[in-house]
Amino acid sequence: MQGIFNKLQGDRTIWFIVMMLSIFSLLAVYSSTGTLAFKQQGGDTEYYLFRHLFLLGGGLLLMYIAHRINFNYYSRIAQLMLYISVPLLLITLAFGTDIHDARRWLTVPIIDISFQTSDLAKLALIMYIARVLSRRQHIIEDFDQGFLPVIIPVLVVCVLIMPADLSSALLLFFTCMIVMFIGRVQLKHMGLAVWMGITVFMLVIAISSVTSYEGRLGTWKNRIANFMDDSEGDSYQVVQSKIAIANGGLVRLAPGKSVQRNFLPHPYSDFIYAIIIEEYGLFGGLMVMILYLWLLQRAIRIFVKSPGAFGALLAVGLAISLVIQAMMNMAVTVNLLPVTGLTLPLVSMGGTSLLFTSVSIGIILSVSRYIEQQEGDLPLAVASV
Amino acid sequence: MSIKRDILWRINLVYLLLALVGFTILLQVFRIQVFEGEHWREMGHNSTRIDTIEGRRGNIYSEDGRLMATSLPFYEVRMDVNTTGLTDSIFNNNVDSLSKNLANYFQDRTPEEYLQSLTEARASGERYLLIQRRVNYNGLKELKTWPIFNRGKYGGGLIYHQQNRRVNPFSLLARRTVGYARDNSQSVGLEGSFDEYLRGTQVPRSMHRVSGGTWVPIHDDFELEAKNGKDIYTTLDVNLQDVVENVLHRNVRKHLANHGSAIVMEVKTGKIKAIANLGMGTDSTYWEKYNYAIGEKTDPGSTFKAVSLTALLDDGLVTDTTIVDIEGGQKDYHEEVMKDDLWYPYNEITVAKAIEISSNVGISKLIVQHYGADPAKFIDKLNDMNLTQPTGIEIIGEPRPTIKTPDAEDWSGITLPWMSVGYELDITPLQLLTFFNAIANDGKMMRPYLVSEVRELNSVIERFDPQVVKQICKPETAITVKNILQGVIERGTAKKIASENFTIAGKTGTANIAKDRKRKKEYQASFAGFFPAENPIYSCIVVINKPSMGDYYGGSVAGPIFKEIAEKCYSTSTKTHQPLVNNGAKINGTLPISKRGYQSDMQMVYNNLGVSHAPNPDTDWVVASTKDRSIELHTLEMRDNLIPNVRGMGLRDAMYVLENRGMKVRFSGKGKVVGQSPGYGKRYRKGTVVDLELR
Repeated sequence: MQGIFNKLQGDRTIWFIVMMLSIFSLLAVYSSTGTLAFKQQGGDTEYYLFRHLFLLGGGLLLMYIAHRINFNYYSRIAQLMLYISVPLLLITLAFGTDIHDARRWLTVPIIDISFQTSDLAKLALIMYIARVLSRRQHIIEDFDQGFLPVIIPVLVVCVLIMPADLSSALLLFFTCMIVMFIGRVQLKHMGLAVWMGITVFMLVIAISSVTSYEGRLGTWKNRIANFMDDSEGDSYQVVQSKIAIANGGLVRLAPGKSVQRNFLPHPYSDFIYAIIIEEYGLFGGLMVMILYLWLLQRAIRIFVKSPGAFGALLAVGLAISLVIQAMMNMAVTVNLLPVTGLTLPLVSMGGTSLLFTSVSIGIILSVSRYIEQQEGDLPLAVASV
Repeated sequence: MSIKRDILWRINLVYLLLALVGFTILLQVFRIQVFEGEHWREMGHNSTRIDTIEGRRGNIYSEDGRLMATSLPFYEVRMDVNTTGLTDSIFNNNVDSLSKNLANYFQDRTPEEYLQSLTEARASGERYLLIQRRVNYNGLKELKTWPIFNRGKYGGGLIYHQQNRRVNPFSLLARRTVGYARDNSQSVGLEGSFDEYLRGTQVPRSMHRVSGGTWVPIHDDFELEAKNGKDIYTTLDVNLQDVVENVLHRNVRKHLANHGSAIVMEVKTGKIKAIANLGMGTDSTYWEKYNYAIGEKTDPGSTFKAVSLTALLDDGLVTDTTIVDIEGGQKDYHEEVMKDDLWYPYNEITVAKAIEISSNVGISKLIVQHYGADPAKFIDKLNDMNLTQPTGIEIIGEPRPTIKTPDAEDWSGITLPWMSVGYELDITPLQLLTFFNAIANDGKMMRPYLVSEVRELNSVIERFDPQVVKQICKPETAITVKNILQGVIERGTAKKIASENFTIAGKTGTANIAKDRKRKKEYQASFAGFFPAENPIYSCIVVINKPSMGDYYGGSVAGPIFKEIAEKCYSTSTKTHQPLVNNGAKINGTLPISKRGYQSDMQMVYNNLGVSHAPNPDTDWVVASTKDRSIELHTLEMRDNLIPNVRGMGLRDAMYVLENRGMKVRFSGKGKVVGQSPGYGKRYRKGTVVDLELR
């Protein structure tokens, strides 16, 4: 273990956090795929364990590769990725695979792997605005030169994601707002951005309701109505999730003993936090929460130490994106937010989004590796932007 | 303020906010666990449960493949009256005709009542309305064609759950032996003892409770993976079983007996071909109440003298001509008097005669004379003949025979003589029959059994072959006993039941089975034997418990039942007939009409019937034509792409021929194919449907 750790570069603490989350992930996924639903589908539950293990391994490998690349290249890569992902999103909307009425998946020809194009676009967009923000810090207060170049790609990507995956689009928009706020975009511009966001959102809803492409609209309405409307009581998923949380108690150690995994829909992805609490109590939930906040704290540390603006914003932007998603997922699980389809990053079972998350952590590590090298050369270098 | 510091406070602010969100989440968890915990945990207990879904239970077949027990699917039909796909216009336009269909088909409510219940359910937001609890498969098929329901689950709200119901096509026949599988009490019969095979695999299913207290599966589009149970093939012959059950039924009623049972066993194999048990219910009707033949042990009475006789002969202590003095039919053993049931004007008679007239004095005297000094030897002999052991029949609950040993506390001076004539011991009818069957089988005792095969999807996965328990006596002994038992029918207590068609060997029994024999008289009449005596095919035992119409003798109550069963067995079983044509002599009369079929099948039939025919070595499928006194077999023409002629074939052959060529077969009627459409010689493609008419 020590040997492997020595070979890794970048912030060891982040590596440690990733390992801890992976262990939680393995335990919870193995338990929750042992459900009856899986058995009924003729699934042998070890299959899912091994598949998940394989994906975690793949994720770690990608993380390793990503952290070996000099982070300065990511500036260019971000631009490239964004240019690729916009047409890909369009293709997905037009030809993607339907899962639960939502067209989010695109199957890559030849290798035959399907992935959510929004995952790619999300990563690309965060990287891209880190690039733009860092390059334009000196003129950031200017509307044409500072604001528009940032907000336009954000709106384009979010609008393209919205029809199939409203919650992801909203989350991405929100995350970008936060990153823009950090990147010193003027508050009045931000207000404008939010106003533009709401306008575009309304527009898409309006278009959706008149065109036949109404697939998701009903679901959104239901979910929001369910959350707002207290008279009918909680929806089925929320009730089952709360039962799981209540079963857990404050401190518990019962790996694989979850009862609610049999009754919660998607216990291995959307509601995995409930399963963790059911099996490891509030304490287990606290541990997971601390790991995410710790990750963000480490990214801030990178920011402080980073000599360049791009690396600093890149690390913080990616970390914030990841942690916000984690918070959203957990907030849904405890019924502070309406039900969305968001996964818990690095913990939920879910093929390709896990890989994209791993890559983004790899990029954060790449920045910290660079800093370590710089520190090696110039131990007392004080960075200034 | 440097740009970096400007950014840093923003980051720290965001961090703080996110930490606050995290804290709120944990606070909410705490709230759910502590303040609302009781409520949610309670709800967890009450609103969810895990059910088990079982694969279809296997069938129980008779030996000739007829269904004795099977599970038929039926469906609970419900309706999601508010399913999203069911719009107001669709509902309102079609609900009338749906109601009419429902009322017409089920005839339990008027169309108006259905209409009212459907519209009310829709208005009240019902999503799981019960339509019918038990709909059979055809009903379900029909129902799916009705308006609204034909829109399926999401569009029309049709929901159905399959359940299985156990059905016994021959209702009463061997009911107790076929048995019942019961969830809440001990299963009985083959259903019980072969439950492990019959039962389908169980698959758990998560259920949750919806409004109105109904339970619905959570994962509704699950593919049920429960495997169906295996089928068991019994040794029972439905025809014989029918005969035995009928004859027994008539006679228990005639004698107003408490209960009666009869078993027919195949001598060479130990297969139980028929087993009937009829007990009087509280309303004085008889039904298969308990498996008396296997589960009830009583004093057998005189039928047991055959056992004593075998012991004496096999140990070389007597021969059939040994003389015994029956002292006028009465003898004192200690303070007890042993009497013969009927008075015969003899004193000195042979051993054979003692059995024929069923002399208690004669048999007990011989046993006491030869084993009195060391009674353990007699018990050892019974042990050698396996009479102290249960037979090991597959049915649960067979008791072990009660045979006292000389070192037992309740062994007394009169135990040995009384035991020799079938008292002071308890044994079941099946156990005694197994002994008689061994005598019929030249001393080779076969283990009686009821199940010959276990099959899964028609392939045999376990076969149960006849099992020899042991050689219980010398073959010569068995032959002597057989001859003496034949005398019982020819000259002795069972003279009345002699048959003109075949010979019977057996022994009558009349036991006073009252708890207190001196004060009360409760009889059990029985007869055990086998037929035809020279070359026994079947052994059979008949036991009538407490006949209450005056007559209670084995020879006159049980004997005639035995005879009637034997006559029917003999006449229905072709194997027992002397072959009518034994030298291939020409048959006068019409030969079978021309047929088509599989050559080796047809040859087998011709060979068995003794019809001369010329085999055709070139082909499997043949057309037969009758010429004078023999049958010629021609190649059945089958050309590619042309439908062959299957007229005259049985359904199995016709289906084989057609479906092997890629056609689909629909048929009506039964018997032989008399019409086919499209006709033969027509072109066909893969999947062409050929309608066959059978008659």
